[in-house]
Amino acid sequence: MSALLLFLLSAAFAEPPKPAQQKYRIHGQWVEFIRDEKRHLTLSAACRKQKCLAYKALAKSSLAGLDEKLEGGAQPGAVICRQQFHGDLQVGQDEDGNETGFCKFKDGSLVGTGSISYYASRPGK
Amino acid sequence: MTALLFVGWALAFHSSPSAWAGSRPSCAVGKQTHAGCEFTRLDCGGSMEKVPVPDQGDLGICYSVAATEVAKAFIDTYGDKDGDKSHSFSISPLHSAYGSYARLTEERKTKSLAKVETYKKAGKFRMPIEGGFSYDVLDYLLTQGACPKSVMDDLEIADPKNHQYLFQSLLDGLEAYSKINKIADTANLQAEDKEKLAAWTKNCLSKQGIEIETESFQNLINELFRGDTLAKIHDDIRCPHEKREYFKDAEIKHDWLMARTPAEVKAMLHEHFNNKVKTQPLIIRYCSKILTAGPGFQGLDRAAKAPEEDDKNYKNGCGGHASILIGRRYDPKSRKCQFLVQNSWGATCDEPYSSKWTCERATGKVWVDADELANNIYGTTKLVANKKDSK
Repeated sequence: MSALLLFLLSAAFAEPPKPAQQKYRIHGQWVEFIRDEKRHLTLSAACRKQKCLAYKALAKSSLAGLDEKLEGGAQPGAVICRQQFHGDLQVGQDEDGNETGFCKFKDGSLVGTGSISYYASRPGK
Repeated sequence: MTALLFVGWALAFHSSPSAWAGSRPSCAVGKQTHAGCEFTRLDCGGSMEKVPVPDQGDLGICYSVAATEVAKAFIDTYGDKDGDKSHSFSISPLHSAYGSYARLTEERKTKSLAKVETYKKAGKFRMPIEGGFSYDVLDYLLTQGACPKSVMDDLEIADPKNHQYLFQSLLDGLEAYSKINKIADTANLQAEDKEKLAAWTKNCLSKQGIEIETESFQNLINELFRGDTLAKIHDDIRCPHEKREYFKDAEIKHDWLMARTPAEVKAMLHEHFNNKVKTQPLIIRYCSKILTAGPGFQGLDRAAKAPEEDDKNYKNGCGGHASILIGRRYDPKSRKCQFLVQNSWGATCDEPYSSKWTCERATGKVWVDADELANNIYGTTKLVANKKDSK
């Protein structure tokens, strides 16, 4: 009983957004991602140990020199993907058809362009 | 003990309804109504119910993305030209951007191409279709029909040396261009292949009535991306009229708001959402930095009294952008009225949006204070149904 109470109380006070799996359809194939909302990170599931190029690139991302290119509302992370990482941009769709952009690296790993924007805009960048 | 268990259960599953919401919008959450700020949400049973969140990537065509969302919402509400609402399809923003570009006046095309040249001199790349106006796109869609996204999504580059795929990918715009450049940079495409490709492409275009007078591969690429040629290809060839959908006549209403006070702008936004009859999404032209900088950001210089699109209108790294407003609510926590922004940067909250705004984690839609948003809006565009259709 006390275990059940402990479970319920911990469920109540725990931060709900824990890393979770999310699938996106890219070029007709469903690809698995890990979404860690606390860290603003959407990374291909194959990159679980975070040794992939997609994860490593985040530390190098920067908004420097992007101002002009952002005219027209371009997604900042997508511009960084192309210009700084020379990655391939891919668009994934969730089950409702909502789109999310990803940057694909040479080792096949992918990271969300929103994550790139976030890490590029952190103080000190 | 039973009471304790109940408290635990209640806390666990009822304390934060939005946190436990699935991937659907939180239609039942935050319905607090306040005089002058009545709850409205167009994606919950309204005109935006079937309009997904887009991601425009690195292409500066926010104006076209926003216009195609509004057009889709309109078709979903009023049906196609025959009033048929049975099929719902997404409209290609890329096709719409090219189509509207092709119809611009020579003066505006020249202005756009001048920007492309400025970028080129600085070693940067820009497509002629980047930066534009939603009302041009809506006008194009109303008169020329809407190209379903599925028609434009069917081509992918497979093998860089496969001439047919390469040519087809050329027509996909910026992405293809970068691929071509990469091929040129890494010398993957040999001179002989370039010649073959140039000849093959010219032949293809010739069959479509487009003659390009050049022998050089690079000139050919430049010509294709000059604007007009690519626009013609997209407009006439990629999505011929029989593949398009036509919808009911509507009126485009555009307001340039730099001469208005923020209070007047806010009143206009409210007026839009006070209309309860088949409310449509509203395109806003605004400083995107308000989303990341949070309360207090001011990216417009309304005192400049500069003409439309003059850089003097903007300050503090405004980040000129277009998105759509799809809802309104009263936030009891901040005691402020907020509007719901559907941005075109993907359906996540990974973006560095200000922690002062509420980002809905399932879709990336953002609630922003009405006052702060109004301070940073410089234009609105919407579609209005003809009177006979509006009831």
